[in-house]
Amino acid sequence: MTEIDPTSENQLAASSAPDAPQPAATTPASRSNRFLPRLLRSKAATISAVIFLVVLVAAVAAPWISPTDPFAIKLIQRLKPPGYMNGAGTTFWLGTDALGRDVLSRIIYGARVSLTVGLSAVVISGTIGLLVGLLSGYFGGLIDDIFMRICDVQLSFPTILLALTIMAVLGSGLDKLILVLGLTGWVQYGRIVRSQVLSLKNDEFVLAARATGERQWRIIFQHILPNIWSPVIVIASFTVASNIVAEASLSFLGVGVPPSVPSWGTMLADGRQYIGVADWLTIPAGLAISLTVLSINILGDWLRDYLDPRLKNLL
Amino acid sequence: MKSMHLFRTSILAFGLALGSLVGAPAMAADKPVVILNNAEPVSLDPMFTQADANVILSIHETLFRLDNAGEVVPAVAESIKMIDPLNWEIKIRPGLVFHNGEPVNADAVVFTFDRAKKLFAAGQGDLTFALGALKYDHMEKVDDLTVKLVMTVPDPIITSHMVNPELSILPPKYYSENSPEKVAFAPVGVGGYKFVSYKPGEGLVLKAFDKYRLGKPPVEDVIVKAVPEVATRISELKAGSADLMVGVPADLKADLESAGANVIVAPSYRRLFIAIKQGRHPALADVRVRQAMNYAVNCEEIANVLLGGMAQCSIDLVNSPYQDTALKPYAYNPEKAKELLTAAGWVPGPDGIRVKDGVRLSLNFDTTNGSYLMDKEIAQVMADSWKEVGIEIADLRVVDNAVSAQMRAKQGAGYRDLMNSSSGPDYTCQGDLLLVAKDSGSNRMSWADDKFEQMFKAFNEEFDQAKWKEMCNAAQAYVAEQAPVIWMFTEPTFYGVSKRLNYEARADGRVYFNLVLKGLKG
Repeated sequence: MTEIDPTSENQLAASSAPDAPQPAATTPASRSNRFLPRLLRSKAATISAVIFLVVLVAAVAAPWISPTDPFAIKLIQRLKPPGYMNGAGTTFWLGTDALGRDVLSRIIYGARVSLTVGLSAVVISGTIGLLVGLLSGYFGGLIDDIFMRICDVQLSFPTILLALTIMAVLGSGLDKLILVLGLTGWVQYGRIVRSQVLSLKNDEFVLAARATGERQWRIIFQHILPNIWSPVIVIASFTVASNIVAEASLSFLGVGVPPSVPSWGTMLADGRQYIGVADWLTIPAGLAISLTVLSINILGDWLRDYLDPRLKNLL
Repeated sequence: MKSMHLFRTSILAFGLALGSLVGAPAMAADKPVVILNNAEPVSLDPMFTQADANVILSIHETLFRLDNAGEVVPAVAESIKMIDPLNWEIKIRPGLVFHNGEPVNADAVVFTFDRAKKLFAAGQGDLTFALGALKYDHMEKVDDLTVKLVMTVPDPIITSHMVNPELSILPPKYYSENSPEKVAFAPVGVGGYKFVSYKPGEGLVLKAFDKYRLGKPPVEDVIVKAVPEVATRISELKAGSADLMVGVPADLKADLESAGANVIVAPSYRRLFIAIKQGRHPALADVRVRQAMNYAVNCEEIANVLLGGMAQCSIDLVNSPYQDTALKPYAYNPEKAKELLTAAGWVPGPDGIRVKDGVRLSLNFDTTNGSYLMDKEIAQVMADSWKEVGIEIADLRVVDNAVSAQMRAKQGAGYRDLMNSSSGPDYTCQGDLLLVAKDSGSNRMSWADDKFEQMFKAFNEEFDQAKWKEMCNAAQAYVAEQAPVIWMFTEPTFYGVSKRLNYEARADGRVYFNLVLKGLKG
């Protein structure tokens, strides 16, 4: 028989408050119907969504929309200024780099690298953090102590420094980069999820589930988990942005992706020494990073407000 | 509101004034000359590094050394006389003292050569190159200013082997009384500059030595800083916070000049190539594969387009004047490369990458970034060229400049299949051929070839100089055909020099501070 927490009465009272979490499956349909109108109500969020969509389309459709092969080295065409500047029009519209590769094509393919790293690392770190947070928060005790001490240890290392060290040992590569960022970014998920679980595990619907003799994994994954998605989604959106910056930083430092792979960070690093004579090597890559990260952050902000039941009437 | 505006303006003005005060000393004539290196020193103990010759030979002196024109001249030694092919008598220059006041005498020379032997026998230090070139049994004292060097094999070019910085003459008392850890970064020598301090990240501080054998160097204070990124080195030079850097990319010459610095382009004897490591991938043992890799690379395009025509492709095994200029480099011929690979049994797989007995022709390439002119870019161009003929570079890794020196050490024990590398001048054909000699420390490919070893042995034992040219050419032709490396070119050196510094480029591209810093203007 499942034990009931002695403080459950207080928790039950708290759960009757208007913004208390509810068992899942009551809102998704209506919420999705409201999503687009509410998004369009915010200009900043709408512009951000458009920018993000453009980056997403570029990443997905890169092989079809890219003007040339981003890997194709043509030394004879090196350091050509942007086509719009010298009258060459759409030929090398953003110019060529020091090895004669088309900057626009590399920017487009760079979106693929950035989003692949940003999203894949979030899946890894989100999954780990979610599991750690759920187990730690729900079971408490020794499991909680162990997981939280691991969190403390990991938090004591600056993430980018830790990633830098691991990449320096493992070597560069997209797969390694995703793994490193995934394995170093789970802590904030773990902490937030744990705190959410701690506040939910004695709520009425959880106690009811326990009382009916439901197995613990069903309580965790079928009752608690659906109620903590909102903060997880919000963290995930911010983490995508921070992963993109981390990828660009590590690639800039030369330990991210190999030098031939088109990455915005690598492009910035390669173009840095030419900044006085060929600024088209750095400006597009810098803008791509800034706009993408800014749009994701604004979208994340909006998403946080959208998912917050206390603000649902304000959006 | 107005007062706030005034406050902000004042802060800004103060900041600007402070900034100008901070920036101003860099250009003052009496301030230290700041030299930007691409890496922190591995060690300042000459026997523990091959990578820091410029710094080592600014602090230390060897028995013989190369002057700015590339001639071997006596340094700590005054003269040398062959007693017989295995025994040499060396007279030491009288009146020399080390930076700490110890006398430079026979005891110091014997101590130095004994220390090198002992370290090498214990597997310590980075002496494979120096002791692979100079095969001596021992050094013995004859009198206070005379020593006898006993060789294990006859060597007609003995003095050119004694210029290697690893054999810098050391003060016996200091180096025997202090721990290896201390002397590693607190050197005492007899060179033009004495050590003051070193802190990683802050720099190596040196001061002109007033008892230097050639007179006190004209620049009093020198600071050597490690700035790995080319772009940062250029920025520092443009900002006036540095006086000298090596390796200005050809593309940025005009940019740097327009910012008020001088760019001196001078030939060097640094021969660039891509080392092909033996013993890892089976394909690289086959001469046809190595030849194919040479044919697949368009060296002319790299030299003319990427380096602005400043380099000329050649079989750069041996320096001028011994280089056989009639020997033609591998002409760009991807079809020939494909034929050779097919003949070697490497046929295209489903994805175009060649395979043989289930093994892919997939290699790894470790490249530096900023150690050599456009090194990272050249590595990418080559990887692209090899892909065209079915050779894959699975991992092109950029390695730190300081780490790369260690990877190349001990016959290239640290790198993977391919790595950009160079060989400096020995000013003799025999010395340059050490690059591919089986037991030589400068053989970074672990390449060994019986026929070449026979040729090299005969050449090394030949004291009749009239025969050297023919033997040198024969060796070059044979090694060129065997292609133990991807041949490239002799690297021109682009020095970025501040307006206040008088600089004299050496023939070999080395930057020995006591010999190249000719004083400050104004």
